[in-house]
Amino acid sequence: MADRRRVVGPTDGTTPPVFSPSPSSTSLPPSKRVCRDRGPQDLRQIFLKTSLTPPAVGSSFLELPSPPTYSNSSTLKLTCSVFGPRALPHSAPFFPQARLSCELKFAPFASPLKRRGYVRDHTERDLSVQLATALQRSILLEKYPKSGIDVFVTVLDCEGEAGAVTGVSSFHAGGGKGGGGWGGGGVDVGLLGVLAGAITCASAAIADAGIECLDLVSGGVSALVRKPGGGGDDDAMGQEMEDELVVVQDPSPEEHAPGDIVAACAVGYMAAREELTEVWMRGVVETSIDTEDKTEDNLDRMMDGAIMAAAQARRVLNEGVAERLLFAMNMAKHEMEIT
Amino acid sequence: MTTNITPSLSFPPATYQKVDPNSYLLRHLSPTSTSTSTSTSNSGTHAPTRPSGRSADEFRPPTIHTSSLSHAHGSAVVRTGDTAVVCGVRGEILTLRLGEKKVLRSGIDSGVGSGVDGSGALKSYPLIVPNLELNTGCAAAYHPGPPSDWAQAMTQRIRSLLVDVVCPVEVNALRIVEDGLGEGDGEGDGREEEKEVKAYWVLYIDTVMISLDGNAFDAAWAAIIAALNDTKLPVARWDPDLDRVVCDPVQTRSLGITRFAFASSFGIFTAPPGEEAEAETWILADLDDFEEGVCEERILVVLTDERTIAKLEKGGGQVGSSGVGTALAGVKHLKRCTKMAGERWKIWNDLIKGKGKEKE
Repeated sequence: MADRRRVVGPTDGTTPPVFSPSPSSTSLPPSKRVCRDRGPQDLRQIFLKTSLTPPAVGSSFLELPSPPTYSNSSTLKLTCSVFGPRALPHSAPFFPQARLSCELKFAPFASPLKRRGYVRDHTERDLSVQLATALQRSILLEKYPKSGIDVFVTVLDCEGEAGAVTGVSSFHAGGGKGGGGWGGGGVDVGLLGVLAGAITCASAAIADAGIECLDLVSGGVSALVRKPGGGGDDDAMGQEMEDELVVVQDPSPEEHAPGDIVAACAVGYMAAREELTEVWMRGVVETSIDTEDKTEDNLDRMMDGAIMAAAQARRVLNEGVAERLLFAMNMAKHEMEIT
Repeated sequence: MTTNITPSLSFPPATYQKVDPNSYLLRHLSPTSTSTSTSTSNSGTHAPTRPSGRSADEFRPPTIHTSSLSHAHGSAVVRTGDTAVVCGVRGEILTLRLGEKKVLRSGIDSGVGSGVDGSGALKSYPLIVPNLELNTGCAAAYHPGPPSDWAQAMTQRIRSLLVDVVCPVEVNALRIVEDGLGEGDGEGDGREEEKEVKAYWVLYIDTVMISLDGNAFDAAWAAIIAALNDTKLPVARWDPDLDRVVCDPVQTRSLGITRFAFASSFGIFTAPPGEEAEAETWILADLDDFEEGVCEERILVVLTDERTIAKLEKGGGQVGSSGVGTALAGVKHLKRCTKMAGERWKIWNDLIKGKGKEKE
């Protein structure tokens, strides 16, 4: 796939570096997959700042720290800029509402293992569509007829295999259905983290742009994790009923062994309206539809976890938006005083 | 846009800027030229100030952060004013085919090509792959999709500067040789051994513009240099048993960049005809987005140290009313710009070197 508009590397292609335990290195890094040292409901501190891209109408930047065990560096980094509402081109057909378009793009250096190309791939398109779905309900689109609102999200850095270029097998669970195509354990929560982060970040940017909204949308992730020591091989987690499955909020792929995450789910949640705008679940969950007891059902537990995580993220979102609002109010006051 | 036409025909500065950008900028630069000027309240009568509040030869102060990306081998975030760039450098391995492998004898640094300075390989193989991505919503004019002609031209300029002109990366640093310990350290290697170049590192230099308020080139270039300076590639060796390159999971080495080049862009603003100050010119350093739209004449100076010019570009000169004399004036402009670029070079250099010291 030759891209004639960009500088491409050698024609034969290059391979990412392959690492091996070298004899010269005496101190190997400690086993990367260690237990999570924060509580299952403890979220990592989210850094959210608005208006970092002044040329855009609204913008925001979101950053998540690495799990504290390993380093004080950060992993997930997203920038989002919003343009609009702006007039659609004349060729566009009449539309009584604003048209929301979301573009999510990974930077070439965002993903581990292999460098990502510049052309948008299926994962990016999928995430873009989901982001649009999550935001759509929150914006008062009918207030802006014949106009377009463009949301651009750039993923500068992410964790896990989220950005891995290899085919991503995933399936959606619309609200309540589970089961299906996923074989063993080992759900990649990185990608879910990217979506949840993108939802929070984009919602902040939209608020920053001064676009009228019903509510802010925040994203949250939770995962069903096989408790360490619980045992059980990856293929047969359905049978092993005594396997304890723990719900973990804001999971990081660094903190769990690859097969331990049985299922994970990301939600877009409007806290003030108590409305879910987006549910994306991956993995296999055994659910009993007839049980009313919420504490028993794995799906309920996981969804509740994700909603709780989103509610927590909402507090950060509120603060980020309020900061901007106060600034704007002070500016207005200042101007009033001058004139 | 609706303007409130009051009897005195005055409107807010923002409207003035949109309606007549040329005269808007002129009023800022020479506030005393006319008495009817509406936007001189804050600029006073001293040195000419631009709409951004800077003086004509004032650059925006830069900031650099390095090593902030977890998956890149080297990275830098550069911010000058409202222009922000992220650059990530990532190394991948190009394994040479059987016929292409070259033997290096100690002392003789035979590049794969026949470049005088051993940089032939950089040209015969595209070992340095820079790209500039502008379609990130960094400014209203850029949409996602394939890069515009301008973005492609920009990438090409960066590439030619990196590979042909400045060459901050020596080909030695990119060689992976058969001898595990040699690592192609180049001139420091005194042993009488033959080393076979089995593979090369290919550096993918991806520059993503996050926020663009004019002068993309300077910021992008500085980000690339800072990221290259920050780059630490894993120590790689050729494993004959596996028949592939294997990297050490812990040890890294830097690229050993010694040549630091920095770019400074200028714009020349000529007063529009029909004004009092007709054909008067101002050299504006580090244009922002608005000024880029107004200034037609551009100067780009790339220096490898305070005095040495690596690249000099001037385009879009206008014919002044004085006719013949303008070419001479252009040369004078270039000299002045070079001097200012020297000062700017020092600022960038200190910033990058300072960062290096902090880490040690």
